[in-house]
Amino acid sequence: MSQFTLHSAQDTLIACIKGEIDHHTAAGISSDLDAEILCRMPRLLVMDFSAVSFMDSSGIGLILGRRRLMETIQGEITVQAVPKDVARIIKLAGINQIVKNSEVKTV
Amino acid sequence: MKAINKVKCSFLSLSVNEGFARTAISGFTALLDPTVEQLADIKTAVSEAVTNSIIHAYPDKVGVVKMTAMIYADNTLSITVSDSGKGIEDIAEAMKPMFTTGNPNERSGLGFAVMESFMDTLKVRSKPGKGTRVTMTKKIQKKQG
Repeated sequence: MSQFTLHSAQDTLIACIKGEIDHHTAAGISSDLDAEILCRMPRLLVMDFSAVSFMDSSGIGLILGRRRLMETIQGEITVQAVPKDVARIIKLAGINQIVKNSEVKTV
Repeated sequence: MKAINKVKCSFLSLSVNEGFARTAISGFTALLDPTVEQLADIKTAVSEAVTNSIIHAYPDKVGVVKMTAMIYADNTLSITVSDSGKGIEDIAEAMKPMFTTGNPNERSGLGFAVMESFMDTLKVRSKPGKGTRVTMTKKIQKKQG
């Protein structure tokens, strides 16, 4: 069972990630998502975190690893709809610039 | 100060138990009536400590991870996560943000930085070949009104 749903429009691939992101779940998410990225070759990957209920630093690794992959295929990555608790760890990691500010949830 | 409540659990260093550890600490922390944010901080810090033991203490085998949590009269929560794994040679280096001996493509090296930032205090003791013990505390202020 995949822990994300995909939507694509033109050159953009949107991955809506669901549930808890930790070391246990991140491995499956990254390998499944990488396979989709390499198959679809999007110009822009959007990781949507609106349905993420928990994230530890494994989620930072998940974002950075996908950013690296997108770079290798000359694409870009943004993160959107970040819940407040998840936003704090993204800020701590110093990768705020990857988040599309207009869509950050400020609940 | 003497603890007024205490729980202990031990579990195998399987990654599926990271979620168990968070659920267990959430249940105990709930006794202190924390805010949603405080609870998220504690769950995240525990997740980091337990993940460290699972990934780094027992890289090639399954070992035992122990978690002890205590509540003190002043509403301080203390959590100790320990293992009998390979230990840390250089704690100061291990605690540097972005330092990791794990797969640099997937591991951010932020575990200790998260624990430090989300908890009030963090103490790490380790002996190479013997294991590591991480103790962190957080005071849960009583809600106003």
